[in-house]
Amino acid sequence: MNYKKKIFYLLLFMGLLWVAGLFGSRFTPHDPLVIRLDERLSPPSCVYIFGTDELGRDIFSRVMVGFSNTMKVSIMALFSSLFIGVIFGSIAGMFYGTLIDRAFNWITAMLFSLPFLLIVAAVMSIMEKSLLNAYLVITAVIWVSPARIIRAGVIKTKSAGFVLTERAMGMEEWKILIRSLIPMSIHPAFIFTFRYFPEIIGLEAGLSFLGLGVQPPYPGLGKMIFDSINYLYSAWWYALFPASILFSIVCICNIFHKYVLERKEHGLMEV
Amino acid sequence: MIQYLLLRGAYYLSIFFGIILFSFVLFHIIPSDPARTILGPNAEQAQVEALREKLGLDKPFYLQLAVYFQNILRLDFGRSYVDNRNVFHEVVTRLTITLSLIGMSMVMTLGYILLVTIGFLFPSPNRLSDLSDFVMTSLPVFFSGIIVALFTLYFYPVTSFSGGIGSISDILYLIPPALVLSFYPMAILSGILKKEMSVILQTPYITAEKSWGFPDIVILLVYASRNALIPLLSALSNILPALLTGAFIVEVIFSIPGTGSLLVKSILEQDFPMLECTVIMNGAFFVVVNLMFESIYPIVDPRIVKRNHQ
Repeated sequence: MNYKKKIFYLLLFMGLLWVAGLFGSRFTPHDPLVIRLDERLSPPSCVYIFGTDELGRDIFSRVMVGFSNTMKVSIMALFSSLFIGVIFGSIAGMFYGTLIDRAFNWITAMLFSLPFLLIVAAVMSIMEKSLLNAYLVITAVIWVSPARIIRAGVIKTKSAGFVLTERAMGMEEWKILIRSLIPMSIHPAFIFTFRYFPEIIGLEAGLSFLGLGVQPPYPGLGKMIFDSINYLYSAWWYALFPASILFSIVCICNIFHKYVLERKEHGLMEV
Repeated sequence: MIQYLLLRGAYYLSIFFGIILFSFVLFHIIPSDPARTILGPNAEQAQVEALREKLGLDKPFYLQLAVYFQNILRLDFGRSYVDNRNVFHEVVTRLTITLSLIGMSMVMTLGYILLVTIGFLFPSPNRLSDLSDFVMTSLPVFFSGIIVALFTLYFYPVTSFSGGIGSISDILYLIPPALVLSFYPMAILSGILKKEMSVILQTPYITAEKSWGFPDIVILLVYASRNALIPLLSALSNILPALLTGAFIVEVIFSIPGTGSLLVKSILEQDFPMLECTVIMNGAFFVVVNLMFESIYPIVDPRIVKRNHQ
């Protein structure tokens, strides 16, 4: 399987997740915001498949909406971080060994030195708490991983024979970068970035867990888990279902990554 | 060797400097008026002005930065906006609890890694451990934390945590959360170990040792594992920040009064000095641990220093 096919499957997979998210927010069986205090903390039944929370809201509907929020933020963050990563990574790779490259390395090392959740939480604490800001801040942190890979790819291909040929034929450096170097390194970077997708999902859920994502009464998966901790003993379903949804997303992503993207077939064109 | 360590030390110091700069910009430059934040929207203008002067916010920012560095060097991170406690003291107390939690999970990880290493003695195809590795990497801390917390609620006898690591019951209390935390490093490290070992065990020097008649377990634990140690250590130092992230969440789930709980509390109360100190102390922890790792590398593999010299 070559890169084109892999990228196609990857995009298909992301599209499916996106559609599932959209579907989740539209067709909830109950209104996720309606409070019914007389049915608070009722266990899973035919009416409420996942039970209800401490205000009598349907957990299944809330999980669906929370899932769609998580998907929106994480998929957008994945693609935008790849975009930013391509720009910064290719610039750093282009100027390999110079001051620009050193500055790039220093900044990425600094971002990697703190727990991502701590950085994101610290930045979010001085900003307005909303889904859009969560997405912006997550993107502003997570771009370092694709950028590092793009940089490595650009440096590696810079000394390849065909690049030398292009240079000898008098092509300008930036043209080589755009026409040869970036396309050569973007496919592996895209596939590698997907490995960070579970981490982005965890980051989004973590933000929501700390109360910095979606604001109540709107549901977020992390926030639901945070709220449910007080009811662990009396209502196991409240904590279990949002957490299981997170687990299944991550598991599906990892299975997809392992069995589709990392399948090893040694072809000539595989770099 | 000393030159190597000094170079690495300078590098990590510059990273730490960057973290301090980051927290300064974040909490002192971007917010338009910290004095207003402290006093709340109802305070009088004169009060705000007085506090601004007291905090030194009316000075130009490079002077503020200099004062900021001076304060950090004296370990003076100010006082909490909410209850006027000494921020540094509070953060260090909480961080010790987080670190002991992480330390315990490291011990568990080490045990697991040893088990996997010994597993190479037996000609099993490692299928089971591959599957468990895969599941463990896919476990978000939220899920495994909730599952283990549910089980401990019903079946685990130790339910009290005093807030320190003094007594045996505290240590027993930390075992389930430490287990939750160790799933991820266990999976990552055992994956790397298996990959490395499968290469190392094919190399000629292992064959030579076999033909000299060393017992298999000696070859595995003394000769082969030393070569696998460097990738393991560097992977460990790479996943350390992720481990801290996990620890924050696990602490909240198991209501352990560590950094995670502090984070939740200070975000809720908009307690910026607390957040600032948490960020900087985490940076300091990272720098110290990485320097430790860097000084272990040349002992494990002396070739690293030589390579650096060339």
